[in-house]
Amino acid sequence: MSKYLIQRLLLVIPTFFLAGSLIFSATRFLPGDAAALMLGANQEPFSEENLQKLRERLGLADPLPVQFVKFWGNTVRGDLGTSIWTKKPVTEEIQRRLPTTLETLAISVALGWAWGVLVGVVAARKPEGWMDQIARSIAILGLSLPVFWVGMMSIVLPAKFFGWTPLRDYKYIWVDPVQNLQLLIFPSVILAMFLGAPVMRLMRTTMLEVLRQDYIRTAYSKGLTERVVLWRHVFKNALMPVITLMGLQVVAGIGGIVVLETLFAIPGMGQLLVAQALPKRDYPLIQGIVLVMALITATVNLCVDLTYGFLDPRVRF
Amino acid sequence: MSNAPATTIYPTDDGFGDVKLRAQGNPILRFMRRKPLAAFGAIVLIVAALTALFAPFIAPYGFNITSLGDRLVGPSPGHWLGTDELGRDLLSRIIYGAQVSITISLGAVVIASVLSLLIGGTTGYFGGTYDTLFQRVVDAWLALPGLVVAIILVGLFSQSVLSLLIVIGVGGGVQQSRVVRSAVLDVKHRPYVEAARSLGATEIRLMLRHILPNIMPILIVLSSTGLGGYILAEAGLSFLGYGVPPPTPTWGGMLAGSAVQYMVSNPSMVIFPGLVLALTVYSANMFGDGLRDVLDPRLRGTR
Repeated sequence: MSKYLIQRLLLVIPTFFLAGSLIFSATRFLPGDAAALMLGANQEPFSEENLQKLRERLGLADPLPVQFVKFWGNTVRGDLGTSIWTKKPVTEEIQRRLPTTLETLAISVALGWAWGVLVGVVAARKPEGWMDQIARSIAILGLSLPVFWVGMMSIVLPAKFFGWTPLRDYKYIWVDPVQNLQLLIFPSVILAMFLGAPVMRLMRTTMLEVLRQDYIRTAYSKGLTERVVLWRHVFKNALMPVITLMGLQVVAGIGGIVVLETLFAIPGMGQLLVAQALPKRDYPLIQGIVLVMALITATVNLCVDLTYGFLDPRVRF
Repeated sequence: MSNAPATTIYPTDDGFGDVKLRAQGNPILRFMRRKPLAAFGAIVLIVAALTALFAPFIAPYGFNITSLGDRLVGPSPGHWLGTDELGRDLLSRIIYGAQVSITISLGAVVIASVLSLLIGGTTGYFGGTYDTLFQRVVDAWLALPGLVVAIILVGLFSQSVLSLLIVIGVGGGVQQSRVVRSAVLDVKHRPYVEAARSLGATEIRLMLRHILPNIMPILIVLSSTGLGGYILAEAGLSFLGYGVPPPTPTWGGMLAGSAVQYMVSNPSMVIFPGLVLALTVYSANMFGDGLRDVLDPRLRGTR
């Protein structure tokens, strides 16, 4: 177990390193930088000399390999640099935003997994039955509707018919849990609908596949009840491929959160990226946000791999 | 012959001669009969493409004609779907918006196909260290949400149709390359490939004449299911302000910026572009699903 765990943990490192390097190169090789933007904002005379000075001050004048080594050296020590614009440490900026994003992610992923798995099982019990038809229609909608449009409709329709508009005043969960949840529940439920749709489809397909296996017929002919067969034999075996997809849905969820935070004016990491870091080309902030996102993904994928061991006795660590 | 069982849906299965086993009739009509929803999807996509092509002839107004007297009106005889805050006709903007959506999604499909063949095809075929290395890069790429990578690239690069098309296409290609790779791994050990190799076929010939044609169905299915995803990706980027800049109308762009401000007072501004967007993506998904069932049953339920 521990040997496998160590191997698996070591595998996270190259992925994490490559993801960070991809973003580092994207920010450096594409045209335009923060120094030019700052000069424009400060209305200082725009000269090559000023630009060069500012770049030196921001650490953007070093040769790229030097910047690269510095970036990783600091990152490994837990220092993500300081924001070019707000002059605050990036870790501090992210710390203020991370709890909100993690909370939304946790609620929506949990709800999405739950409905995807449960409805997938129920739908597979009677294929082409009315439950199956409804579940599949919802899943298709989940694949076809733009997530932000559904979010807009969830604001427009209640406002039109009940004169009710969502709150705009964000509070942390430890400050005011009720108001916090009132705000986050809409984006979370909407995102959950989308995240659960592919899970439901795959759950249904794999359930149907396992139901056709010989050992299921054996289980029934032993006289086991449908419930025992369905949950202990079919469900457990059908869950394996679904778990992989559930991990991928967490990554997709981060993408959805970026959009929904922007729409619902929720001060999370996605909003930080879209509204602040990117337009101002705040490289350290962009890198920091992306690295934290990659870390979340890596952790989730690690958990997914470890889950296999619990579900499938053939997988030995 | 409508009650005759359609014995096979694989055109290639007919190869061995029994004429009676061959499915009857026009393949397009057969597809429409067996997969009505997919056929509906195909028709909607064709209509969308034609709309994009002939937008200037169909649209009642220009996409950027403002009429300050008719600001924010609801659906009315003069403006079937109403107008936006500058008095621009929504129907006309939706019609012109098809151009960007169709161009970007089709372009992204081409780029994604080529790229996934290059990455997935070669890594699957050659294997070894080259494969391992490349798969780590793909892992790293996929560790980040596609939308986040796309906004970063578009935000730092430029917001033009071309750069959006490339960014979306590359993202899709990296994702597809996994499926292409596993398809190549599956095909390359089949007896007919071994046979061709033992006859002295070169690597290039093996790849192009023996493997490529056999993974084409998978690529076609991936492309058709990808189409809807690319339209959504473009809309999502536009919504966040990283799409084709105004005044060019795009379906996602019509839902962004000022639309959020006016959506409660004038809901037709967001309802109609969203519905058109949803209908198009739904159609692409239905068409892709139908095509998948016909071309490659192994992929059923993978998405």
